[in-house]
Amino acid sequence: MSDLTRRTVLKAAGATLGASAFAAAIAPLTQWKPAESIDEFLSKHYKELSPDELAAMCRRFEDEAKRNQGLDIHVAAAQPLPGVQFGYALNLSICVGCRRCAEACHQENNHDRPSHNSYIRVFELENGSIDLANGDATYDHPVPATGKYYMPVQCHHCDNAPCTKVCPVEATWKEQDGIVVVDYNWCIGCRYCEAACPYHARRFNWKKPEIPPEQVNPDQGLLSNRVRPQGVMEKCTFCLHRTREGRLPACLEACPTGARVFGDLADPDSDIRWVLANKRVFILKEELGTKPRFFYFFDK
Amino acid sequence: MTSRLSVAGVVIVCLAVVVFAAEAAGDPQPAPLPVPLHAVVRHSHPTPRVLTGAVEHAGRPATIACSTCHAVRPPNPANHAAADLDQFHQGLQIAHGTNSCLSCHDPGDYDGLRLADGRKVAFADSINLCSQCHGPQRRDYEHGAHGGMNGYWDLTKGGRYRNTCVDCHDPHVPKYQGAIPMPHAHDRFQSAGAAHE
Amino acid sequence: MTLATLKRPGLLAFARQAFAHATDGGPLFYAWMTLLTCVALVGVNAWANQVVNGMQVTGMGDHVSWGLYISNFTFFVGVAAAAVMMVIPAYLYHDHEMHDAVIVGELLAIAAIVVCLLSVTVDLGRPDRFWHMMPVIGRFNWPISLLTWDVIVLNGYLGLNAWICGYLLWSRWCGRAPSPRLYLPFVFLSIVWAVSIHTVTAFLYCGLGGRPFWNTALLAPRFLASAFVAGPALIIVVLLALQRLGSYPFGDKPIRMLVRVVRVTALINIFLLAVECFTALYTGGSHAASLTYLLFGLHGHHALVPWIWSAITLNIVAAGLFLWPGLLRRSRLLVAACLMTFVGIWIEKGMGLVIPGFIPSTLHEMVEYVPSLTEWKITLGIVAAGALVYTLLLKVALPLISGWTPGLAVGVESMDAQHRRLFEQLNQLIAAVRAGRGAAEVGRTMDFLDSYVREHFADEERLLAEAGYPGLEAHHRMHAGFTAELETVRAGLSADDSDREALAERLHLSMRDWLLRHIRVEDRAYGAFLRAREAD
Repeated sequence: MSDLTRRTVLKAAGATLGASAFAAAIAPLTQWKPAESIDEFLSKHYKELSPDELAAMCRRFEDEAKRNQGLDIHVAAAQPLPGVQFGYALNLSICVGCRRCAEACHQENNHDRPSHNSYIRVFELENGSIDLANGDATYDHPVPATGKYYMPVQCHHCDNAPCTKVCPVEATWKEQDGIVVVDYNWCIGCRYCEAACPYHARRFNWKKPEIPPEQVNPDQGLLSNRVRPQGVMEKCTFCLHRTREGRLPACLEACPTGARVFGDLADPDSDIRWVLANKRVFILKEELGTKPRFFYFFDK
Repeated sequence: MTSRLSVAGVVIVCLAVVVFAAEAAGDPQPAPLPVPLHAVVRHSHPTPRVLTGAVEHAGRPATIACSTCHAVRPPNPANHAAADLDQFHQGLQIAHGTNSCLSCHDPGDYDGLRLADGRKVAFADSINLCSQCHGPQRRDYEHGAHGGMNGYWDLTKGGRYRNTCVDCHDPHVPKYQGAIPMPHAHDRFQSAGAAHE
Repeated sequence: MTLATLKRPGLLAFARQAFAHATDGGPLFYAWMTLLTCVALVGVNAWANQVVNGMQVTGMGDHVSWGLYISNFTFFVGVAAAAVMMVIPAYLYHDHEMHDAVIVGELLAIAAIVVCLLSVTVDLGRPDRFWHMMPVIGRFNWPISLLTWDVIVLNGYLGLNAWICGYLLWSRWCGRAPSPRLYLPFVFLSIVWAVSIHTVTAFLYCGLGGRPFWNTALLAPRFLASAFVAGPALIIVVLLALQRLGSYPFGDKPIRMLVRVVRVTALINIFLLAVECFTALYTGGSHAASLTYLLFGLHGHHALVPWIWSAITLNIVAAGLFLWPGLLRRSRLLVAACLMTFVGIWIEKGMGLVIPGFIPSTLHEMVEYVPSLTEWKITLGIVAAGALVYTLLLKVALPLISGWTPGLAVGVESMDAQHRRLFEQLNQLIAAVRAGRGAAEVGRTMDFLDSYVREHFADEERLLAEAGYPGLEAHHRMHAGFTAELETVRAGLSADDSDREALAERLHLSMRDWLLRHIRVEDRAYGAFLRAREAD
């Protein structure tokens, strides 16, 4: 055999070996199921869907829940209410740090059970200082503790939202009623928005959320609390599946002290407008110019 | 929604340390309300009755109205604490400013309360009594900024269901009694308690 | 005499030749490629598992949501941008020798961009939705999102360098002088573009008001300064390695030039870091929290402290070494200095810049980050893939730049074979001189070249005389000039105190380039004459 032929044979053998090693290396991908259906894989951006397509998508998620888990869920694509501008205020003077808001969020929004995820983090701060550097969100002792006060932080639904600006694919945007949403079908999972948010409001699905079927909240919104897929961003949506029906958000209902005030900023007679007009209101990190829809206030 | 309302209700009732032996009170259901709608305040506190320790033939604890005893006992405006009393209400904790019993209880009718100006107030309407001193809280309450609520932010779509003062504050020891917090999120790689210092 | 029909060298032949160049090599080459392939495949496998199981296999979390992938991405954008440090002297200052060497930098830019694009891709939670970023079929959030700008500048830079390298190599293959119109505008564009890729990448970070550690206008200048340290340092190491391997067809000038560049940029980089530290630490407050964490630890968390001080030490020591003029004469020490600063900047700019932006978190929580094994596997796999691409590109490009190509064919088979052989001999000699081989070996190579040149010139002139070529007289004079030059070099080589570098440069510049031009112009002219005569 001439040197040239031997070389060719060796090269061919090497190439075959390399190709089969490559095939073996990517073999785990055969178990990958990025989308439930081809429809989901090819689904258009939320804003490009017609009302009929939106309804069809909701039905599809309902059917999938029925087929895969035997669950009867209701998925709706609630649209912004005309003329309504949502706002939220939180009374730091009476919040006791019981985390019932965070727990209600956990249940309402079908969060991953093992991580006990929630869109709300409650910080225990020292009286006399608003420096979060002295805060702690992992306390477990009875509350309120002496010398401490509590500051729940969640998405501020900023009017100048840093998170929506940075998204390379417009998978997150601000709706007409002021709610910042994520299209779970469109997000590519780059987490740039998570880096951009000054309020630690965004959460990433590091894995597929785990919820026992009997614990799933069946009242679901397409842009809010439907069970999220793996690898996408999620965040507080002011419970838009509730609030766009006129109901209060779950965190507010869970608050035992009434520290939370939610309502329509466009309605001069709303509770939230009364708070903004009559209380000592402040905005977290106001200097960043994010123009939040979430306000903190003190009684005294 | 009903079940969640009840859950919230139970939580609130647990928080409120009510020393009165009251008739078991179910949560009233928010009825469909006509427009314009108003908040439905929980009236789960009817006129209190006192446990006798005896048991009725049906197995329920026997209770008697306050007025049963107080009708024959002269009121003593000097009483401020359980220690001042010699028969009933032993061990009753009182920590509510400088109030005496008769600051709120009506000496003319122990089954009711009275305002400072002498007007009678039913137990169910005790919020009006509290508001005499706690005006700012009453004001905040009326603007949805105190006491919490369930239901609708949009009152054209549905009503609200609200607590009253004594759901959370024991009238004798009104300071908020505290709670055990719910579990926090177990964030990846964050060790609890090691956050700072 | 056998006359071949001169075919225009086609793209297919070019591809076939490139493939042959890319896949042929010695045992060292095959070992190197096998190693890189294995590491890359380990990375591919780890990534496949990450895609299936989700990003939970990484060390990232909602507090530190970017890690090793994005750190590595940021660093390699700098490496890619550094090619400009060779382009500027080559094209702006018309440095002839840099002109050839610049391709080593431009090919590195291509490989580095491949590393960048892969690093970003593996960081995606949903790689299946990659197409959402494509204009038209997806929704490209341009110009609002800086990430879309980064996509544009990185791919643009990849395209620019691919075009420049591809066009120059193609021209060389065709034996044509490249048309300046077709590549010079792109070269100058690539200079601006190189600055833009790193500026835009800095803007990804410094545009975020919620992260004070990144929210500084100094970030882009710092990125560029560090890029112009790490990139040239890597190119120096590559050039030295090629020299050692005998496949280095350029003079030492590029290395000297790059050392001069690093001498300055290393100091600027340290200076900018010091400026940043002063501003944050002297002011204090929460804006200094991340930097305090990085340098000294904060609230009992110190994970990055040993790393950053290693980086600072490496950078300062390397900067000192680069200031020492003797460094150029000690190639081992030069390699060490380059590797030190390369690693130093990899730490400082990757982990040292991306990670502290998240610690403490925006709500001042302290959660530390340690890359998982999966992340290391994937990252090393990507770097190996980049090295693989770079090796293949160099394997294709270097022989084309320095050797005989079918484009240089004159159409006389015997002469073309001799020309090919001449280039091989000359390159062997250059390599032997450069690699500092012993006088005996260099002498042997020289002797062989010398006799071969004379033989070839005699053959060629005999052929032309037989054919009655009118330009024979002039042609002979040119040959004589070359032989005289060869004699001078030979004399220089046999002298004990010869400046080998200068000789190698002379061999390269005045002899190989002469040969190239001579064949391209004069020899092809007689080829045309012979073919025309044949046709009559």
